[in-house]
Amino acid sequence: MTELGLASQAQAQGRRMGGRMRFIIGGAIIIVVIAWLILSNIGGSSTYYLTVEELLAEGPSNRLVRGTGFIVGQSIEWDPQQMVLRFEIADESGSLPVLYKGPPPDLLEEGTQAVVEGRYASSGVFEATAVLLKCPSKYAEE
Amino acid sequence: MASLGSWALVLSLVVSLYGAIAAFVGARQRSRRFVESAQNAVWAVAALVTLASILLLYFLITHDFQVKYVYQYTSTHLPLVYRISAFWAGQEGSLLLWLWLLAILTVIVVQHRDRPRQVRPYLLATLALTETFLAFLMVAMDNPFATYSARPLEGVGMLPLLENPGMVIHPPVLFLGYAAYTVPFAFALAALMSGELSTAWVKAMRRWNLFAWLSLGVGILIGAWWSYVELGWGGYWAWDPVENASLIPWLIGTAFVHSAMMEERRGMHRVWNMVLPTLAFVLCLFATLVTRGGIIVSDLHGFASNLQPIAYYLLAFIALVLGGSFSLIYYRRRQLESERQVEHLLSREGFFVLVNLLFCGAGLIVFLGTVYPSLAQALRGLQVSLDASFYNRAIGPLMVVIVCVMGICPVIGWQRLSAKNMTNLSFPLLAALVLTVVAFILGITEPFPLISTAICAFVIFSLLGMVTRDLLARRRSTGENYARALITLLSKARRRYGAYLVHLGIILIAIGITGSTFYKREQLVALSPGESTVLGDYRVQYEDYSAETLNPEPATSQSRIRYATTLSVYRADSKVSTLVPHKSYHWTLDTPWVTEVAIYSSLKEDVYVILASLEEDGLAGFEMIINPLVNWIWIGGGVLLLGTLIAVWPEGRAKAVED
Repeated sequence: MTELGLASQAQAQGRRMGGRMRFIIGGAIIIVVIAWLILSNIGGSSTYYLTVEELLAEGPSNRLVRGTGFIVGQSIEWDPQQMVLRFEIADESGSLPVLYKGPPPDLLEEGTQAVVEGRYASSGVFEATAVLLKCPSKYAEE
Repeated sequence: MASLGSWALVLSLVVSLYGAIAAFVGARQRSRRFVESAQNAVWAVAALVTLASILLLYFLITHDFQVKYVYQYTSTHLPLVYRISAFWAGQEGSLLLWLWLLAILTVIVVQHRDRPRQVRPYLLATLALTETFLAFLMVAMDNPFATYSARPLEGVGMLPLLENPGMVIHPPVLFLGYAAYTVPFAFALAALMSGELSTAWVKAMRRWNLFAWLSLGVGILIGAWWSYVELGWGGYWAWDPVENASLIPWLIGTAFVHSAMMEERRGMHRVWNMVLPTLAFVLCLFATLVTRGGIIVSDLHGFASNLQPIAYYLLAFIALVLGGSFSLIYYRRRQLESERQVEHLLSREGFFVLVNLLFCGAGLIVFLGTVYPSLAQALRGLQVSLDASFYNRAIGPLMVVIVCVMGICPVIGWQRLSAKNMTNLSFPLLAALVLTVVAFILGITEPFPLISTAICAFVIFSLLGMVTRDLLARRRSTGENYARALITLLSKARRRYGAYLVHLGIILIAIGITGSTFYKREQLVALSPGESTVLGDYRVQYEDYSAETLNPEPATSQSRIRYATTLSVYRADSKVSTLVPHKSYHWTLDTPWVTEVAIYSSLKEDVYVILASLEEDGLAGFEMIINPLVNWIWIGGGVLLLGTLIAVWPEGRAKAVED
């Protein structure tokens, strides 16, 4: 009776150990997969911010970046029929022509700080897919 | 009068601190007198904070511009409902709202006298200490009752973006979630401090936990809806740091909802159940750190851009909570051992561990994505931004697995997978396969939407199968008709059926997200009045345009010139809707242009029109978007709400009648 009890207890313990091992391996696999998901995607999804100076120094590269500079007021050209917007962004080192297929953002005016996301194409024009303008908002005053 | 509000806050700081200390001393010395005194203290705090809140509301409604907060966020043009919602338009008022909700919840928690006696004083101490912290933030830095020496004639007014029904309900519901997450945390900490570590506390806080989870989830969904109808960029979720900040505690909270059930039913996951509520609570504080502390770089929201003083206090409090809780967990580790071990990976116990890991993993991904740009800047001096593709690629696969588990887990039994479970799983599996083939033939060919169709169908059929089996069994044993059997089942197993409904709600949301992510169509067109364009199954005709000036004097944020265009939407030559997308120029604002989108919504898809540009001769640029299945996201949210309410509804009365 007691022998039988002991045997089944040992068996249960063995099973438990085996279960725990499998369990730890399973958990570890999931953690590794999650870590892999993070590490493999974080690089590919980052876009770097480059100033006009850095963009000009690097030259046309055709990679996705975010260019930053100030809007040059006189350079803004808006074609409402084709819905094409052209303007230049500049800093101390020079200026860069930007082409954006889409409506002019609401704050587009001389001197606004702009972030243009897109590619510096070999034609020498920065082809933007998004134009963000940094706006001072009410929250920022606090 | 405003000084009365300030004094109420100072007093609530003193009284709540006293309450925390008295409760703690009462717990150590087992003195009822101290505990009762602490109990009176939290009642007093609730009364004081309620007084302060009513005062602030009174100032907002009566235009008392001498109060800085009223001056900054309202004007005489603002309708009553937005004057009330101005309560939470800024940091000071948001903190007061948070404290107010917490004070009320604390009183309700303390009211219940059925808790284990050793635990209650510690519970009281933790809640009172959190109240102290929030009151301290207001008294030390963000007093909503600060005044000017003279009384301005007109206020600045509210940001036009905040004038939306979403703004009226989104923040209070979200803050209710933040405040409510203090309660499960306080229960866990009280259990740890008292050493009364039986699983009783998990049962006692079950409703609180679900309530917090629900408030936060519904708050997030309302926020998504607000962003969709108001921000005018054609989407509902941008993976912006501010949105992420509220999602992270919800993901951890979701893990905890499941994990708590494991402890209640099986006596397992006991360390998880100390760690998860602590993390959920801390992450609610982290959300405030993100929106107000200035530590996160954000493109969309123009939040504070450099580190604010509030950030240091929040970080210190977070460090205190984490340090304290984790040392206590380590100290009590022997008492926290599980009563059972997981014996088979393919058992319900095994899947619950998987659920915990997946939700915590998803939370970690969102957390890292949110802080990555700031970390990269601080550590490597790089200016980097992380776009939405990171989250979609990293979280998408996890969500697929989570949805699959949702279909499998309720079907299989405790301890191990049985042959009968396999039969019960094969029907939904087969049905899902058939449906996926049909979807493929109908034109869904991309891999992710196909996978999504398959798993969503699998879960729905699996849920249907379970309900049908229960129904047939009941009918066989009692001879009731189908409707009656369904009603008895629903009322007898509320928790289970509530959970099924919540899962169904999540699936509906998943369907909406899949449709609107993968089958969104956009086009940019320039039209003159009278011209039309074809958009999907619709023809959109640009009829007319107008300009009018509103609220010109005195000039406030509500003063604007409104440029509107009228569009008719036709489907198969019959007119289905008139849309009026417009833009307003608010000349007193730094960001004067505000765009209001127009949406024609149906269960199949939304026609979403943004007025992008308008020339003097009426030539207008429109961004037109077809967003398929978006409505199912909001419907899913409703089902989720209903399901959770069914699961938490007190069973007392029904039981009493049965007895």
